[in-house]
Amino acid sequence: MARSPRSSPTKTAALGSRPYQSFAPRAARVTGRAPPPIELPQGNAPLTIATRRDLAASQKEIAARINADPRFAVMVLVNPVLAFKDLGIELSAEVQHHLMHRTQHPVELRKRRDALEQALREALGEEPRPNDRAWLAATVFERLKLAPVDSAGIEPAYLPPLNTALIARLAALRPKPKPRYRGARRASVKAGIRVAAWQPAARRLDLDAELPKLPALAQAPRELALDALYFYKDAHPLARQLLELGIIQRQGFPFHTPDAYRKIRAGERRNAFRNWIRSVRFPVAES
Amino acid sequence: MNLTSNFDFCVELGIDPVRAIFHLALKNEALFPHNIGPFARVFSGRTMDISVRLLDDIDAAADLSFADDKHIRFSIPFELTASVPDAPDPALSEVTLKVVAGIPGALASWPVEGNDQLGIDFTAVAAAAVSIDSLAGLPSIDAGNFTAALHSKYDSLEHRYTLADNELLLYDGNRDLTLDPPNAATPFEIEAALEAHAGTEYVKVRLPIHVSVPTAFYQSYGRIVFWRAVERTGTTITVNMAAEPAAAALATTVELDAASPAKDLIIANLTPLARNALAGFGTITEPGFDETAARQLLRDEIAAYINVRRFPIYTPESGDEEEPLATPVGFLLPADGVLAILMNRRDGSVSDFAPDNFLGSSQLALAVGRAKVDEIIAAAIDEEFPGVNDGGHEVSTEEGSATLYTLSVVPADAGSHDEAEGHLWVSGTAEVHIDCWPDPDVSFDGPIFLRVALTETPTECTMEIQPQVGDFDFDQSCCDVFIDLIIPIVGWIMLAIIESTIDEVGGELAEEIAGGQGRAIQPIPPVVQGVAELQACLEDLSVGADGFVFPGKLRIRREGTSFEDLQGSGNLPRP
Repeated sequence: MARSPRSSPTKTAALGSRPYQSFAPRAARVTGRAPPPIELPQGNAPLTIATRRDLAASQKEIAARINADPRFAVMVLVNPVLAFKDLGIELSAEVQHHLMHRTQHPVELRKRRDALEQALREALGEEPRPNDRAWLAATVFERLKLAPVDSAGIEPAYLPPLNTALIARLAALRPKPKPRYRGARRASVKAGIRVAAWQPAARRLDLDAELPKLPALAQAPRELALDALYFYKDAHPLARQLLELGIIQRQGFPFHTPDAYRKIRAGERRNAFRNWIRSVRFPVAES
Repeated sequence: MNLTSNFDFCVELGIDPVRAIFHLALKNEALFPHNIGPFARVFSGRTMDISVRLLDDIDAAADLSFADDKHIRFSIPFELTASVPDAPDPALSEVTLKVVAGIPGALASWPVEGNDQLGIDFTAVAAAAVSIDSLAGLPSIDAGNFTAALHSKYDSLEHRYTLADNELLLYDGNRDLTLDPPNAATPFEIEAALEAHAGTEYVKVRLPIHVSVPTAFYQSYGRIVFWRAVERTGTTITVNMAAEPAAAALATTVELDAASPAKDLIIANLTPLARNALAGFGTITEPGFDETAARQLLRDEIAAYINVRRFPIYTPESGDEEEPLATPVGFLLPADGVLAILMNRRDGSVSDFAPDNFLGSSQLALAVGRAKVDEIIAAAIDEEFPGVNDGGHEVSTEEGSATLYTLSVVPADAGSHDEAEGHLWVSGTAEVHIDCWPDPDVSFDGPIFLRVALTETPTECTMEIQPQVGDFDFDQSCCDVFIDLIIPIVGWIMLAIIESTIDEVGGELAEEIAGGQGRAIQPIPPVVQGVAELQACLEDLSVGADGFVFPGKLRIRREGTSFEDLQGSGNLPRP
């Protein structure tokens, strides 16, 4: 099987002097479409959800309110708690936590996240925040006393977005190579065609790949990104746990802050859901 | 825009590259003989040996133009040399005409061993379709030619006529130094002039003579003056030296310089003898083409030469014989100076028709039609999401799962969906699985842009395609998942589309580039057999509702070893 170009740490020429590669939106692009503001739903009577039992009991009513305006329904994906509030549904703190927590990951991933958070909380004595660069640098270099290494220009290994079998099936769609024109050519220019390599994404960091030996860095950096933490994953069990937790957090459904939610609804801030999701419709459960 | 008509693929070339290939083809002696002949033709009873030399240089450049949607008009300069060893005027024994002929060649397809090939077909060329755009060097037969012809004829005739002791000498300058007395007549040489009398052209000749009549004690220089009618057709000039004009003023006369009582009697007796002597010149017939006749003759000869010939352009033999190119059909877009070659006839129920000009300012562009694009997209979607659009496909990732019910990826024009540039429009419906909550149905749509990064160095020309998802923010991991699902498939789709296009238009696909999604290519056939090497480089792609276009550029060089090649390798011939 051909190895993926990103299946082992590789040197990249483009990183230059940047100590760590960020996951900048290389492929993001603003389109010509500017979604208009979404009017707040009107006429919904106040509905208070205090418990998970209330939530289950009110599913039909909630679904009806969401489905009443498919355009607004998209905002449920931006932040369900704030969207519910706009629909006249007040959630208790317990239900808010439940809603955010349960919808963010599939069951297995949520269990693994809970286990990692608990283990790290116990080991570090505080809430683990692997996607907070300053916190991560302080934890890795000051708490865990790991020696800084120079990973500039080294790209972590990533798991490919498509599995090997699928890649093989897709590759079969391409015509076979055909050396049609025999005989020496004097052409000096070699032409080629290729598709850009897939995007590196923190949530696809390969936890099991072998790390290269890296030179020591004289001074510990003050910030550490998740992809730089990658190069410490085998240096300390907690570093590996932090990396795994950070990856899982990146895999979570991203709920926006109240300010971002307001701007997205008002059309002041672009958002993939607003531009890409035409409608969201929840099934209305039988009572 | 109509990119590929009723075909799947189309290659468009600008007229400049076509001209460049044409000039290189003309340099190929084996393909286009530069020297034709000599071959014999008989005109006016005289055998001409004719040689033709094809020209294509700075002073006399060949050229071509696109005449209509199926005809290229070739402008061919050549020199035609006609040798007539026995020409009455030696100066006309070898005549070289400089001609520029316009010859229409049909862009046509014809089967060879069961496979269609595209080429230039001259088999229907009739003389009327050939134009003589320039003709120089055609001699006009004037008095000088007659004079020269008479000088030439003089050499083959008797110069001394006798009757008893009487003698008549014919002079022509010093051409016969044996004559006694030597020439002191006026004119010294035979003179000819063309005159018109009563609507008829005559050649008037003054022939220097000497007369000796011993019994009358008379000797005198003098001249014979005579007129003979000149008959010209478009191809022949004839003078019957024996035919005395009926008009008294044009009767043959003998003029003697010395006075004598016997002079008139001598002239009266000598004149019949002079007429007989002139009749010895016989009927002089010479090919003499006027311009109209010459042009027609050239048209006839060119048509006869060319209308048994056709030259293949796209042929199975140009590449792998096992992989013949499918139904290549050519069209010309004269107003735009574009040659379009369509391949893979998709719909045979309609007559073939010309595509639009999608070449723009490029030298070369490849296009793949919408129907073929849709086929490849459908195949790729079916591979990645089997069951989608037919019950649903379960998408399961670390981040979550969903049932993808429908998915559509279609190329769209700039201006559609409020997007300023062409794009792939992705739309679909899915049921998203959420823990502890009813699964919502989601419909989505949005654009994917196809960006190109070109790496171009003196030795490399690689086009990298970067699919970009509109409005997706990489800070949003959920969207990142979607991108991970859709971008690779778009990448594979693009590779499949481009490589299929290259393959079907006769390009070459080499092995994969190590470790990457790509390969070395020859976008179009890299050789025009025996004529030129073509180095094509795809530089961009544009997306529209009618399909994809891949513009590029073309370097054309002569096949074989050039002066520059030898210079570059230090192998120039040494003295």
